[in-house]
Amino acid sequence: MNKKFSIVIIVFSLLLIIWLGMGVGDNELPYVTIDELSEDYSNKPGKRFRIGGIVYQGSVIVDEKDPLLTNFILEQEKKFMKVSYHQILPDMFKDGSEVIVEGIFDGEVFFADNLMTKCASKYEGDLRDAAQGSEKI
Amino acid sequence: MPIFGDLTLSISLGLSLITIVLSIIYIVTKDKRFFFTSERTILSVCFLVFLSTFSLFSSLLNSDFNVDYVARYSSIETPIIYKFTAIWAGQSGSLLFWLFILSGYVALVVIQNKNKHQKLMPFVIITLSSIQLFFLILVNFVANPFIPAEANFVIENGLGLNPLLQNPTMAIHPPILYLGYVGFSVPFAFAIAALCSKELNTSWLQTIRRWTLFTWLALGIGILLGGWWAYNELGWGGYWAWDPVENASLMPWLTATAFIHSIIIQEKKNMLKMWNMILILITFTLCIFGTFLTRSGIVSSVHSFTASSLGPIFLAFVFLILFVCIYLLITRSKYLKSEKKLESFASRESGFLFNNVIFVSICFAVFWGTMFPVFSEAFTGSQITVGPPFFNQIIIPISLILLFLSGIGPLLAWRKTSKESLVRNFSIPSILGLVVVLIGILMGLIGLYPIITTFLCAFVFFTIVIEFWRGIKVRNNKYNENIMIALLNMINKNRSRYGGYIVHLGIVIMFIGFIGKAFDIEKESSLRIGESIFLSNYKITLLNLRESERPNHYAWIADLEVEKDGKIISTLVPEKRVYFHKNETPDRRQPHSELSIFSTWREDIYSIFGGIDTEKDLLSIKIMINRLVKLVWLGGYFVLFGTVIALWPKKSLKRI
Amino acid sequence: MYDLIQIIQNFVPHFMIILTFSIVLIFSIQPLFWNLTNIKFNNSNKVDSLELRKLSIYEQIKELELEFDMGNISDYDFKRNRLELVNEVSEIIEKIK
Repeated sequence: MNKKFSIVIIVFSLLLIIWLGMGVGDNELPYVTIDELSEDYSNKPGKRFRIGGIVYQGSVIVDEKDPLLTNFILEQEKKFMKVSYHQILPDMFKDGSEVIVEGIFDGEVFFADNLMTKCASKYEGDLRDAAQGSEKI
Repeated sequence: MPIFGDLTLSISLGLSLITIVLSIIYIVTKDKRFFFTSERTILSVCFLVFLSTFSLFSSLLNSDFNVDYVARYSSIETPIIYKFTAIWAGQSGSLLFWLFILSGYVALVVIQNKNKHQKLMPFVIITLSSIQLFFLILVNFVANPFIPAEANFVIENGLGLNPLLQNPTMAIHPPILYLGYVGFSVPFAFAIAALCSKELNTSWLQTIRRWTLFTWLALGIGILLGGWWAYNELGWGGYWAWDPVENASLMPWLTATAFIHSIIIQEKKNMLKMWNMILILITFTLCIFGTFLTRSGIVSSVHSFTASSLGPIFLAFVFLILFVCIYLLITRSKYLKSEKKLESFASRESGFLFNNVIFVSICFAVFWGTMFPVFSEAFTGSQITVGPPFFNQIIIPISLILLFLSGIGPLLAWRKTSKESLVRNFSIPSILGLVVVLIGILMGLIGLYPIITTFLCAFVFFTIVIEFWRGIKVRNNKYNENIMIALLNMINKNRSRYGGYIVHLGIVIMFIGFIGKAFDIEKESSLRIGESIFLSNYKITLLNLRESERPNHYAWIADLEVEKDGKIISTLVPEKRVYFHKNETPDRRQPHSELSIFSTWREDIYSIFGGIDTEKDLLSIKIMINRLVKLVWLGGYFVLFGTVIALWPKKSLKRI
Repeated sequence: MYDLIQIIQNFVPHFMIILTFSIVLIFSIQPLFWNLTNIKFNNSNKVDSLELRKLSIYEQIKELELEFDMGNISDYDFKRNRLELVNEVSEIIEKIK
């Protein structure tokens, strides 16, 4: 009986591994750089990517007609990419903040359906803010 | 005071080393005096850690900004309760808090087991002391909460606590989660002690049964509170996002759940000794691994601490634990053989075994998905993440099997169940389950998973109800008790059994809540005053936009009126707040959306203030209708209640 | 006079710290000087574990009876399991004696 059990468990584990593999195949989301993105997107149009960078200073434009539509430029080590995002922005999103976007690329604009600002609990300010200028004796 | 705190930490470090040495001397020489001394020294370590934590708290209370930690995580205006929670708000403080809870547990274990378990205790003390030592090294040399502020200027006020954390749930969520995480040190220590001393009969398990159950409960409630906080504060409309930090706490919970099921078999049948050992060792390792995940920044997450030098140290500790465990398991494997064998697939034993296999599978799937970016980067060079869709796709079907098992478990007899009783026990709940599904479909239930889940929930629900009913009938016939008294007596006489059923009932209720997730709807839109959004059978109208300056923030407030089928049922007031609005550098100002939720058993109307265009008086807003969310929290209460019943001490074991 | 008070006041916290640590130290090392000849230990670990096993089987018999009364298990399963448990417990009682 114990042997039968082992067989059942082994079969189950194999199924699990196949199942996991399928899950990864269906949902993989490569984390790429802007360079890699412009190479990769043509191979697999419509594939979703994930890309990180900094919101370029002064590039955030909220659409005139549709205030939910935001366009900005993502900077990644002197490389730039236009990003379009049509949802409510997270609280911590602003000029110069570090963001990760997920979505598809059409060769020119990255259409993000998910935008994350990095680390809300990274709340470690500079102690100099707390000091009011006076030198310690 | 900070100097005192620092000093106590250094002295405890020395003392905990001494404890380990004394215990080893005792094991070698068998001179009992060394053992008693090691008991005393480990208690002293605990006492000193308490003192040190209190001295950090008193520094926070007195706003002693000469301490870096105090200046960073509190300010003069911070209310006292949040000065208390500031103890675990930052990296170093939370490590001290870990140590504080660990020391509380250690003191309890040592006092409770005085003059008991002669062979186990020295090893228990060594193991617990080593864990303490690890954390003492961290708070002494890597992240000391008492280091003075570096600034060469006078700090007049601290930075204050992150407003997101200034929330009552956030005040109790971390301590409860830590109670869970840290609590597994105790069963772990007993397991190691049993392995080292070769005292591998079941008595160590019985000592830690209630510990494990309590710790399991604390971890579960901690996870649930985290979800509750995310749902009510973070504003993305859900309670679970498969974030690495959430996964880190889920993994040990899963293996611990497997453990509390499989120890029942060991207690009753003396089987699965090796397996139980592996489970509890893995559970503790996962606790440490989880701490590593949250602190190393190795996988990006919404709410981890800042990346720090702690990562490698924790990883090294994880490998050390793994090494010790594997070594002990291999060398002791011959003592861990079971005398008995499984007899049939249709037995309670095999039900428990499959339950275990599935819990471990889910844990592995969560681990795989969480670590996939790291693995893929190591093997292919490019980081590939798998998001929430992966977890949902993989884990929903597996967890449905688990739900099914929790229904058939009680229907199976130990050792072997005959066919007739299987058919008899299965038929009624299955038929009732199908009836519920039919009613559900008539009411608009669609989709494969929702239908299967509904069936299984109904099935499990009815098996449990039938169990209760049959038990009551027995007492009713035997002792002629009326239904209420029979119910109470029945639960009282078999607490772990019926407590367990109540926990299962809670899980079923939670799963019904999860079904609701499939029917959520949402809409984002921009509104002027007087305009409305239509969603499902609700009409939501923007009545007014206000502004208000409050003591620590500036707020824009939207007044929304909710109409259902033409009747006004509620008003919602989501806000956009800016904390530190007076700060001159705009970067330091911290915006925060305060949600407004109207909650009923059927559904929650969830409103998020997206943004405001002050020139045009245009509000962008997101409205979500989240179904059955309240049931998830209700299920949590059932789990709590059931576990408390199972935990309630028995008066005496001897009365038969 | 004032100076003396000042000195004492300054010393008090240090004194308290030293006192705390001394108490901890004395508490810790005290057992090293105990005379252990007249302290007895119960070394009945083996019997204890058998005792526990016995109680566990009694509980199992009780639970089995409950399940049988509830109608969850068949007559045959009940009799077989019960016999097995009773045999096991009588073996254990033999060993304890």
